[in-house]
Amino acid sequence: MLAQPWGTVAVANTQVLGVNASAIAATCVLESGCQNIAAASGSTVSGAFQMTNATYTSDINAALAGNPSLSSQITPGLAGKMDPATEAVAAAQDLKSAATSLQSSGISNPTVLDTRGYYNFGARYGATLAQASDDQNMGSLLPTYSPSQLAANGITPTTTVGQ
Amino acid sequence: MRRFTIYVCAGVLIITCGQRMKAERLHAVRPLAGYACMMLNLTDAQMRDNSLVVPVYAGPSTTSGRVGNASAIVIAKSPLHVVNGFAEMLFPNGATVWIDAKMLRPYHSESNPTAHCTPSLMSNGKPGLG
Repeated sequence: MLAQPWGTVAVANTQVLGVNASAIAATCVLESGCQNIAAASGSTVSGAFQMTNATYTSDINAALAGNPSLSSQITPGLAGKMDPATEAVAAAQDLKSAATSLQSSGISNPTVLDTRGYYNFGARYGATLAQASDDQNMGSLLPTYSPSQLAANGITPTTTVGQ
Repeated sequence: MRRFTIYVCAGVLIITCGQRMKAERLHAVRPLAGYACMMLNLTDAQMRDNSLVVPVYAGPSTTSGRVGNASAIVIAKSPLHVVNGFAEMLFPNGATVWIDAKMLRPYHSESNPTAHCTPSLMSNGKPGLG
């Protein structure tokens, strides 16, 4: 991520929220290879952190509410989603929410991977994945997901947590 | 990716506290006798809705004190132990907690009907899914 022209600013912005650079960089690499990708037809998922409009708006508003000083550092409105240094703030807020949520679900020491599970699959499944053996398969841990829903997330029923 | 661990210091500030290489991957050590996997009685959409939370309590009543929120799959006492409409379960941190029994249904995977879920003691010393 630091190889990108916006990387340093993104790190500085997210550190205001208390999220370290490794966590945010891992998210960016896994989501898009740190490329600022436009939304596909029929989808609002876009940017280097691949957030939906709804998630982005909710997270950026929460981040600004807790850290008003960031408002002068970011691109306002939904346009910020395509400014990676701004979208990084929303992604960092999501990871921060993930740590809090996982702890509320009894996961005492959330790892970066645990927060990834939350980022991809939400609070309830994030907590489920965090307490699963690495050799457990995703089909058994995401029991309400259909095979096509798993495929949409780039996994199959037999993909393991460790993979 | 499991290798990177974030230490929890206090609340959310944990993420600033550093990280280390994890000594080993999380794995099941042995099954937990007397427990079974169950899942929340929610639709797929509800399962993925972060605004909808299913609370768990310290005892079999809402006045016993809310401990936290249930994950999608829970480790329930087996046979199901219901008191005052609340079912006994194990929280991921090892605590015994209670959940509205109506919020539970038998474990079943849509994508793999033969999938199994075994409540286990994990390599971190806590209950988990093996």
